[in-house]
Amino acid sequence: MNSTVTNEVLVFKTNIRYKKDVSKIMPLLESDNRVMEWNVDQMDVDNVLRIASGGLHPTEVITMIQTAGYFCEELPD
Amino acid sequence: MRIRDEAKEKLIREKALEMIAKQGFEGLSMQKLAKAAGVSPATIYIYFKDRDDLILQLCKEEGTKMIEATFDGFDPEMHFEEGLSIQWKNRCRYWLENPMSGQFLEQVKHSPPYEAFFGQDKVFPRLMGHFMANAIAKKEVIPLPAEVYWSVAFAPLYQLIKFHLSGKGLGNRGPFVLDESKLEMTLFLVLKALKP
Repeated sequence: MNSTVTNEVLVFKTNIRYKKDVSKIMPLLESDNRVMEWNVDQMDVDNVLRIASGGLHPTEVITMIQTAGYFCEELPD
Repeated sequence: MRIRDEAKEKLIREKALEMIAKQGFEGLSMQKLAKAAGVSPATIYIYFKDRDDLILQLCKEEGTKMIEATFDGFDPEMHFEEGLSIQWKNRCRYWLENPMSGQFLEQVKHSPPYEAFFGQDKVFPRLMGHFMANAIAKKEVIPLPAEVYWSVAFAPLYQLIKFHLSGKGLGNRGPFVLDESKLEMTLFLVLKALKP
């Protein structure tokens, strides 16, 4: 707990709204071993996709999610 | 690599607590929270996985604080009168010093994250169970169904706190302030009702 440094956290606004949408992007994210941990905040209006990763570039994620047919935009810091 | 900033995390927690205390769960969106805390939505997600995670962590933090405050200086072996008196003072002090925390816990009561925290808490049921069993065995209090007991033992206190926090008494009687003498007066009557 309370480690001062975390894996890099990438945060995206998406329209991954329902369970079926989450299961569609699941195989894409799980097959990339730079993705340590990920989740979609389905309780919030922005359906935020949060990825803790080692060395993944935001544009790679955007391409991946758009390929699956969803809107994806990085949330600025 | 992003550096965790504890001051920022604390501010996010405070603002989220305030939003839920005032408007319930529906009042909390990450966008609104980010604006209130003066951070970007992305920053919130560094500290919290999602909205549910944030709410669960708030329940844990506030629940722990409330339990610690309630049992400050309390011993379940105490005589019923002394034990209840300490609890009244503790609960009253907690509410008056942390009205936002109190209102937060009221708002989230019986929600899944609240149940997740209080369902695993062993302190509250252990201390209160021991205290009550003891007091009943020593004939210091009459045995009652839990809800009836609570409604007599604590509901009057929370009603007085509500009057105090609203600043208004009944009707047009003007401002109401819960002072020690009013607290003692009510506690006296409650104890009278609960004694065998």
